[in-house]
Amino acid sequence: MTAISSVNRGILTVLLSLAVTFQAPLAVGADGGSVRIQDVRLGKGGLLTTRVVDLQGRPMSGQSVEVLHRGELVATAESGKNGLVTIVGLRPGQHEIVTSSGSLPCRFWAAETAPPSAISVPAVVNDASLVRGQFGGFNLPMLVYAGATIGALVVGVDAMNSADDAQAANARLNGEVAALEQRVKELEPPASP
Amino acid sequence: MIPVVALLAATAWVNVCTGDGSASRWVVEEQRGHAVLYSEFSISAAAIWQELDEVTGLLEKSLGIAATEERVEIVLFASQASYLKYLSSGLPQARNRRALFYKNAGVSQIYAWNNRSLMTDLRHEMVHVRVHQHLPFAPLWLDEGLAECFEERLGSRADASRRELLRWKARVNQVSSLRVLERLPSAESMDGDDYRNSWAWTSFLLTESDESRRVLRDYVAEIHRGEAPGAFSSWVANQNAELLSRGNSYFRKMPSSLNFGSSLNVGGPGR
Repeated sequence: MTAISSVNRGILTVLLSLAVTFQAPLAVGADGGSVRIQDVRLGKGGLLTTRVVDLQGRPMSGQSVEVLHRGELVATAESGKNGLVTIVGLRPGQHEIVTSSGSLPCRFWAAETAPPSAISVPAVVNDASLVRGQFGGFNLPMLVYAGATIGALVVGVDAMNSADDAQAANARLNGEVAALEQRVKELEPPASP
Repeated sequence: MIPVVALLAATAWVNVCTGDGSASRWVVEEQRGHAVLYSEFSISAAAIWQELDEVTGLLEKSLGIAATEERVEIVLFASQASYLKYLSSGLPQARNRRALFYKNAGVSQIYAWNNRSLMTDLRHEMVHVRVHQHLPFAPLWLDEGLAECFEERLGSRADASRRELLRWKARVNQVSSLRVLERLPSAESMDGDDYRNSWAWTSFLLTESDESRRVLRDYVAEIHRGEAPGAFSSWVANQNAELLSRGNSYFRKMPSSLNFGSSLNVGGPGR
């Protein structure tokens, strides 16, 4: 019995070690905050116009879009130019607009009953997760690139400063020449009448 | 049997050496509101909350970007090696980044490691957290531009070396237009110039005039409402056709003191 427990502990240790070695980022909890429901104003004939975008807000064409009502599929379409999708024949009520990598919970309203906050062309973000980073990790190509950029900038700035200096010197010399010419004129005897 | 014992002994030794076998790898674990802090090293949680609260307040005051009740997890590592080891398999982008913001299933996570710029890194990533809590999507230049603007305390702005560099670049017309920045495919493709130019254009919109800030605030509000207003450079043409043309002139004379956090003077003079 003791031997079996020992083996079990050993297996557990190995599994835990493997888990530590191949760990993923922290698992996220289910308490991700309340889901916002978008109020959407339908057009005549139950017309829905929506736009599929990426996480930067750029339109995505050729994306499959489904409209669900209580989990049941009620319409499908594909986004065209500018990411736009139009579907007719929809009814007011709670729905979900679903793309391959995103979804938007909505409440559809007829135009005459829609609240002021309702919008006509909701955007559906076709992306599930997002990564942004603080620039500043270090690797050799980056350091070489940074060195070359700084070097080029220093040379450029130096050249501009030299040009500025030359211009200033030129202006100063022109001033001196003008002053000398004026002095020569003053020293010259007046012309005979 | 002997190889099994040897393997167990080896794994146990690795666990002891790395500290992974302890009850928890986190020296600090503290929750405050909807945010949780985990740290591999001893650090003042109060100082971190203070910095992040300041960022949150500035974003709300300047652009109406409000915090939500979504969960935020802040994970700090004692060293870059520990950070990379932890993230390399799940988030390979960590390799070229000092800190990371990751959002999935409504939960925002910040990963960073202990270095002299840690507070700057945390402020930077917290801007991403708040932007993506408030908005369903955000143009990359605006997302990174805001993060760059608010990553440092206002007092440290005066000596910002990038301002001097920007002035030089503007003098030789080397500051990318917004249209160029809007074509950046991803955050991974951004280099130092792209970050600085994003900062420059965002600074311009935040500080050039009440009018410029109002335009940016309206754009943010439109995205927040759930619509897709399209690229800012096209959208702004309908609001103020000549606003962006003032950019390069502003960059050449960029003031040394930038007040990103002032609230909009609603109803005041346009410029």
